[in-house]
Amino acid sequence: MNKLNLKTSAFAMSYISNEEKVRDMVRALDIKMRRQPLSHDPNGIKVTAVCLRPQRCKNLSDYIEKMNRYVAEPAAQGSALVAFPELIALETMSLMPRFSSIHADLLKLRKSDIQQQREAFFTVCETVQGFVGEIFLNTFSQLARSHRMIIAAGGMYHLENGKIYNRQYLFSEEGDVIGMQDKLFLSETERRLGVTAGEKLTPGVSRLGKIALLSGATLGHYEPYWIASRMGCRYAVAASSPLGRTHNKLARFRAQEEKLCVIVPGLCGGKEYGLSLSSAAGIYMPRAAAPEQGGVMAETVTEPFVTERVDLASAAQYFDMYSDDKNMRFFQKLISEE
Amino acid sequence: MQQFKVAITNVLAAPPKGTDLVIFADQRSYVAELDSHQMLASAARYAVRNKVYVVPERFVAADSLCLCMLAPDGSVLGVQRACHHNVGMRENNLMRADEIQPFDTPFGKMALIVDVDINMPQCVRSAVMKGASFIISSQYLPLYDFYEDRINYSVVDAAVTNGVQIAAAIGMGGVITDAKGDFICDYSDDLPIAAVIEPQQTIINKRDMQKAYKLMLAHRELIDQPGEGGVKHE
Repeated sequence: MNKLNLKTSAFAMSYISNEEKVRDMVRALDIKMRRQPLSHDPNGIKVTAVCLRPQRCKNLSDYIEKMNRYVAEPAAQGSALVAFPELIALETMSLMPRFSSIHADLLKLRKSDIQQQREAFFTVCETVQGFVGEIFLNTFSQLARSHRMIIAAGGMYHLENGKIYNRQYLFSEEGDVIGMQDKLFLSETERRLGVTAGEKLTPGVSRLGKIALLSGATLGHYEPYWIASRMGCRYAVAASSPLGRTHNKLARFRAQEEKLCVIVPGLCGGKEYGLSLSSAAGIYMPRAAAPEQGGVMAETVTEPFVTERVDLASAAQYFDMYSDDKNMRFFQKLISEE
Repeated sequence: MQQFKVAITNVLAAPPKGTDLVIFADQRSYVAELDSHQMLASAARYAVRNKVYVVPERFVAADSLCLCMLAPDGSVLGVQRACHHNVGMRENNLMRADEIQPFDTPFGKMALIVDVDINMPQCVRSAVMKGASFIISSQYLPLYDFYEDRINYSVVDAAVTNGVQIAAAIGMGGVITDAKGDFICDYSDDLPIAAVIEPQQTIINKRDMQKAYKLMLAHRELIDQPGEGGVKHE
């Protein structure tokens, strides 16, 4: 791994991007801002799951325009919440001068030993965190504010107290960060690279209520969704990862069990990064909301996003005689078996 | 662990040839306490006569909805009380258990999941965490309330979420799934249905299950009220 190459490229990024440039570029998009956030509709609200195709960006403006396309159209369709897959901030690394050689270095690392991989990964995170975070956070803050939309923006690897977390962010319609979640269930690759898993669920509090920021890997477990539901969440984002395929089939089960709206942002393509991604984007509700589709409100691997109106209040009115019993003593016994 | 053949049959119907384990599909919601001992005696004779392990009908005993497994010598190998009830059962003022207790068989550890417990993700998860590698479920489902998603939201969900194989008697029929939630035997009420099970073909991710359990521990404040389980439902 050529550290000098990495560090000089990262240093050069401080000339390419800064907060003001990002803000100016978003302003230059001439976004027709909603006068105020969407009001509560008795028939539910529209939510969007993005199906992102990672591509190298030519320049900062290209990156911002691309992300804006994923937000602007759902906003025009009346969506109140748009959700992105995890780690999308890393796409900003493609803005680095000499990114091709850095990327080639990273690919070569796959063949090296674990210690080398960990060290290189740490170095990369440490080096790029500044500009990646700056571009990512400012871009999505500005987009959320400009479109008056809540954005579950995926996120980035975040270095804190010597530990690396895979962190997701939630932005309010005012562009403020209203939620952060460290990934709870790491992929095999992330474990190998020494990423630290989050230990608690930390939902964001938005105008739409609490929103849990989860990863696609949590879909295999009822616990995070049970906790989210008990914490008062109505929406859970299960963001797909470039490091593993998301099993969308499970999303409708989690939605049914906890009467949540589960939004799964997808990831497809990725050839330019040497990836072959095929995780669908989808929106899932308890079965009562869409009995004919088995709770699958919308799903895509080909479209850039899916938007659907969801009405949790109506779905919650449905009573299922087979699954509505509660036995908290079961859980008490469960945790007492520690 | 050796492979075994599991069959779901009508109550007391002869098992298919070579069957090791029989599960009875019963269209009644349960056998009343008054008749339970006779039903169990009859099932024990069936086990001895056919030299099979048998999971007979759901029955009420000691104010609990139960399911059991009998060995080929007619003895009781494992019993499980229901941890949750459907609305109809709740009217009967029955007790509820607070845990799933898997038990050893020659084919590996198994767990019995009684009635609507198959709809509760915590039940099968708990069984698998305690070492169960095969799940037997027996659920009452009236004909008029049966549709495909009933199986998806119960058996398929439990199988794919936990990476275990499941044989489930549902209403008048049965279904057997592999550890990915795909059907080894599609749902049918034209019984018997049978399949050979390889006990080692589970895809249980214990590490992530442990992580999920730790997450529950980290949020133990959410499990607050002494609930309704273990006491009569009001």
